[in-house]
Amino acid sequence: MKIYQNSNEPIYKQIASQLREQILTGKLKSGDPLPSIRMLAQDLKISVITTMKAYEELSAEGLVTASKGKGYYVNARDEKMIAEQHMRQLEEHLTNAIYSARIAGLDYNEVCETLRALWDIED
Amino acid sequence: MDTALNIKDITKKYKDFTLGGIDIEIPMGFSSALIGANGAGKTTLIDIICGVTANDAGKMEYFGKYTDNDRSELRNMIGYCSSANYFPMDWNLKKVAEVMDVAFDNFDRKKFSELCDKFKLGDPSGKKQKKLMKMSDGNRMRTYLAAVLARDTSLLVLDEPASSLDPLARDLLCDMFRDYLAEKDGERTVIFSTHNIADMEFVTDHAIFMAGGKVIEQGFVEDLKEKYILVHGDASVSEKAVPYLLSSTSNKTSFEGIALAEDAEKLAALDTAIEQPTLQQLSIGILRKAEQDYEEK
Amino acid sequence: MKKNDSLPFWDAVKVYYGTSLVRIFICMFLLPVSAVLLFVTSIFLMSGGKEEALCVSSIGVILFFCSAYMFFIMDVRVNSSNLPGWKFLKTVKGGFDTYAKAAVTITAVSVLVVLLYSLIAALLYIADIVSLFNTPGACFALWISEMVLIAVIVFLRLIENTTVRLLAYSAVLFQVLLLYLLLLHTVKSMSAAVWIISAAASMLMIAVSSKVSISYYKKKIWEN
Repeated sequence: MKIYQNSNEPIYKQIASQLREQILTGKLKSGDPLPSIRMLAQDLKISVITTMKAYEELSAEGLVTASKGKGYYVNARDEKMIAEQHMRQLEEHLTNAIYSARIAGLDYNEVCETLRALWDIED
Repeated sequence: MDTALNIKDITKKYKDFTLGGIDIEIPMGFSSALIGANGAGKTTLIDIICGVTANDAGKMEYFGKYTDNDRSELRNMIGYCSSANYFPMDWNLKKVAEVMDVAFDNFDRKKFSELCDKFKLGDPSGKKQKKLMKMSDGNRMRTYLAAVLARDTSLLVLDEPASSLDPLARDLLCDMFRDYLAEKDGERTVIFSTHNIADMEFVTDHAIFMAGGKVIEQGFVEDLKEKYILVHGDASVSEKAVPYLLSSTSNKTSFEGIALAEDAEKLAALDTAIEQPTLQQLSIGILRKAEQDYEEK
Repeated sequence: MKKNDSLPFWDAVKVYYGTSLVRIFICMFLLPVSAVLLFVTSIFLMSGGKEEALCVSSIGVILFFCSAYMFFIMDVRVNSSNLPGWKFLKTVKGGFDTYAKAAVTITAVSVLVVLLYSLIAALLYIADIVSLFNTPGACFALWISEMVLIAVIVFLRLIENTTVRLLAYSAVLFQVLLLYLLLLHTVKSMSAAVWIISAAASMLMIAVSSKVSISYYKKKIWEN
């Protein structure tokens, strides 16, 4: 896990987003344990409360659950919820793409062509 | 969340200084920092917690079951060391190891040797032994730390452990705090005092600010960072902004200060820059306010 | 009822004095003995082997001044909150009880040492090897004076200021020396019974002095 200590984004948010991605892409499977908050703090050289806050955020989103005395575990994959999360990310990325297109002076059709070309490459 | 130490209305009166009434709850499993200027009462409070000094009034409850009458059980469970003059000056590493072994139930000689090695102090069983009085302040502090960290304790209470250490040693100390907490996940707690939180920021979970013998603010660091905001702006808007600020500094061109997050919208409307404060910036803001309040009296 | 989990007395001594009890005992015992042997041997050699050259009172004086080192050994160096080591000693297992054990043990060892070298002197006299004292009574004079000395040191070692403490020790040493010389004069005119009773009384004095000084230390210094 990579965190930037001097960035504007609070460290706990960085941790939460990296773990979120790992869960959504399936790198962390349902039932997998997350490292204990203190061991993660040791590895990243940060305070325990920061890792705890990151885990609490993921817990509030329903991605992980705290098991008393045992730590945090990844929740069972809720396909609908995961699809929603991915949809949200897609919308965010597309919005950014539209913004860049506007600055570059591209119109709707040119953007679609670019999208088609990239889609074909990925296939 | 469990409480490692519950301090209720602790008071201690000296000729020209009064501590108290102090009310603090130290959460178990985390690292709490006592932040304040010299003379704020941090050492007095730590001495009272560890049984070095007696309090005049108030109660303390340790680990949910012991009180200050249970000193004999607590002595083995609490790992305390002061910032200076902890051991007699004519002792050397070998003697420290010998006496610590006898003085406490849970001292691990092997761990002490490993720590002495990590802190670059030498070998406690070696032939050439340097006396504490001939060591630098930094090395003496490392000796005290090695001695207290080599014990299996449930609560570490350290008075200004970082003050005489160089940056490398401070970083090592932070790692040791994290190792200490991780070893018995959730059952161990660290309390340390400092007048310079910048170096210990990444090992502080909970902060307690002290000034003039009183606690002026306390809470988990992440919560405090959301409760307060750091505000900067041009000198032209400082007059309008200052009433919202807890404390501030200003010069001809700009001003900077700490305010409550609930006033963020109002301050943003005045064309100021708002961001989340670091613990260091928060400390400066809070302690400055305490100083201003004191001067007004 | 407060639990007394103070350390065993040999460990308590190690914590407060930094060395093992055995080493302390040996130092306390060997130093006066070696000083006396040195003195006796040199007098012997200088006088060409004449036993009569040995003066009873001068041996007593030597023993006395050797007692001075006892001050330094009985001296608990960390006896106030201003001295390095105080905070460590206050948080050591057993707390005050450990201090009390260390203090009492050292006092007891001092008495034991005096007893030992008195016994040796007595044995030498009885075995007719050499008489370090020309009457058995002189032995008692020395014994009582040493006991008075120990009883007073037990209090004086509470003085925080090193200079004042050392001056106090020196003053007392000379006073007790005078006592010893005085007692030597009265030795001949008193019966053995009186001497035995006085010897026992002087030991009682140490027990009382020890108890009182420890309570004083607890109230005035330890529980600040």
